[in-house]
Amino acid sequence: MKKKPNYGELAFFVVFLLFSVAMFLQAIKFTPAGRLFPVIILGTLIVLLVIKVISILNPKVASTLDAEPVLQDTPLSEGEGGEESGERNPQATFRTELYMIGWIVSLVLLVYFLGFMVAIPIFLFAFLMVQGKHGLKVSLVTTAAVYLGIYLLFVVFLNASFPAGRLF
Amino acid sequence: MLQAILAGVAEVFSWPTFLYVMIGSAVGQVFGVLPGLSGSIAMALLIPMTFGMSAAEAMALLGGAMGAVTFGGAITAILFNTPGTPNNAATCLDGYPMAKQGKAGVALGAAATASALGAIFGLVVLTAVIPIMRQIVLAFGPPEYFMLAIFGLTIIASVSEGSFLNGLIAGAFGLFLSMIGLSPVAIDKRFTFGTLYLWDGIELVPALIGLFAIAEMINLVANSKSVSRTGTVVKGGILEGILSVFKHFWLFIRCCVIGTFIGAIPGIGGSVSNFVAYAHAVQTEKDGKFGQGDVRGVIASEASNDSKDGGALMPTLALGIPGSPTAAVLLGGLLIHGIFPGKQLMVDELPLVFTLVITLVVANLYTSTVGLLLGNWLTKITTAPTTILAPIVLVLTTAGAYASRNNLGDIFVAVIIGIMGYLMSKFQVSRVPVIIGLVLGSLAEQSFSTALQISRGSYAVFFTRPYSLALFVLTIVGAIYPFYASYRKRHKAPGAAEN
Repeated sequence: MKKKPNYGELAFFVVFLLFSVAMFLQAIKFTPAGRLFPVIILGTLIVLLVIKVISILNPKVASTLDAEPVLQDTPLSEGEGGEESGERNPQATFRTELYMIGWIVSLVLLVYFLGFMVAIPIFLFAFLMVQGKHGLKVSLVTTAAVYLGIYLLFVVFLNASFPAGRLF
Repeated sequence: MLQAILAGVAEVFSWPTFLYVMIGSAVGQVFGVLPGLSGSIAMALLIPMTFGMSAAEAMALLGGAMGAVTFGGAITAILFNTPGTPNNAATCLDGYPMAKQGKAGVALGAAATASALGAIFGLVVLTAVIPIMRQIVLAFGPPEYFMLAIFGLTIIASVSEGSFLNGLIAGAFGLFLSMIGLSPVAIDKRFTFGTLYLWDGIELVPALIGLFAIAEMINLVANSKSVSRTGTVVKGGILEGILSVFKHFWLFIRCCVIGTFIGAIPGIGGSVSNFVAYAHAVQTEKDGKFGQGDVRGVIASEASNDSKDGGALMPTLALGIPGSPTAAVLLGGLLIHGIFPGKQLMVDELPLVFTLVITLVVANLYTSTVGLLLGNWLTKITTAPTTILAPIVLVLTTAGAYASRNNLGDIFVAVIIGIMGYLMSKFQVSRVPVIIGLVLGSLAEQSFSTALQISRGSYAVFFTRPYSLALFVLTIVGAIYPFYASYRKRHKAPGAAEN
């Protein structure tokens, strides 16, 4: 039976390829000295990505290119990882991964709009309550402890000047 | 020289110098543990405190921080796949898989021992070569730097064995990242997307935080209840880890030599040496299961990144050319106290050199001992729920990414690279070659251009100088070896199956 290509992987490498082509088109406009390395590197990257896309579309090519991996950092979702979460299925895992990306982006946005010292407790408390589903007590204590630690280390000891947010 | 050594020992163990060594070590260890905060930041913060001190006391405080920071970084590399400093990036490759298997204690024991002994090795070499230091350092010019960078890039072939195509893609992507910013050889603003922030290029700290810490937190929360696969930690692993260094002592020595040698080359430092040593371990230890929790991977990385301190001090003390960022801050501390590197330091102030050397030895022993004592306690963190661990690591790394340069742009870069790193790991593209490319890309470009300027456009300069030629030969061997090893494996396999 013909093996179906992994469309997620295909999309990733196609976008990567398009990005590399766009960068290559920028690179050829640089001065001769400035473009030498970028053109060589991006040209190589484009060739490699074309081969990769072909290998995804035609798994026969893939099998001739890649032997059994010896060293790679497989994602934990492949079963190599930590204590597994029991009843997780691929859709649930994918959903949680998207939520996590959302959390991380929201942390950056909070920092940008509210500033570090406001964003950190809000993010911690919300994450622990909503994503972690921990109780109010655990969430409050953890948030307070981490906030105090960060304040003492970065503000008191390091004298770091965390910028205020755009809104405050 | 013996007199100078004894004077150095006496100074370090006198009061209050010893107290300063301990304070510096404690600060260095804390900074090492926190991703984004490097040894150079710790030392820069300590410099104002040295204004009222004698030069020897200042060296004790700064040297303590310098010696302690690298092992601190190994702790988070092993427990959370988040290198505390760029020098510990290769420690993640096997240290973290060991933590997932409940063997964090073994990894910590091995890291602590390899770090302490590695640092001592580097410092012994430093002491031995003090009389001939100047000649060694001056032998390295732009052609040698270029060849060294190219040699480093062949590591990609080793760390991506088996999925060579993905490894090359990741390496080329890392090289592309290193090209971002103002061109070092022309007037171009390359791939800056109209932002001022990218003129300086992509910094290593946010890239590391993104690729390893952020990407791993996404994976952890989605797939695991805790870092440790079994939810428990194996007790008694610390001793096994300590003994493993002696079991693989010859590998340890080789990696120390690599670390000291690379550390001695100004501008290269531990972020390169740990990958070179790791690749060396992968290539030479045939029965290894590298990347799946082989203690030899931890030993190789930690031995090299701590032995590099001894090497980094060679050009710093002899020529005033810092061999690493921490050595650069140390140099600043020396100058503030009126001590000038070169003849003055190496002849007139030799006891001060040994005060620094002994301080580094004490700091390394101190941090490794603390690490070993706290090892069993630290490994319990790997059983903590990921939904508590992940947000804490995320806010700490975000604050660390910002604090390393006080630049909000670093947080955005960390997150973008983090999402990219997550996608790479999801589609089985190793993230390690990205870092190798990022570290070596600009070095290769800059030294290539300078070497050609020196030789007036003649490429012969890369092959007519002895060290450059030697590195070229090593590069060819390093590039061909993975193919040869793969060929041998393929041709051995049918025979093995028949047997």
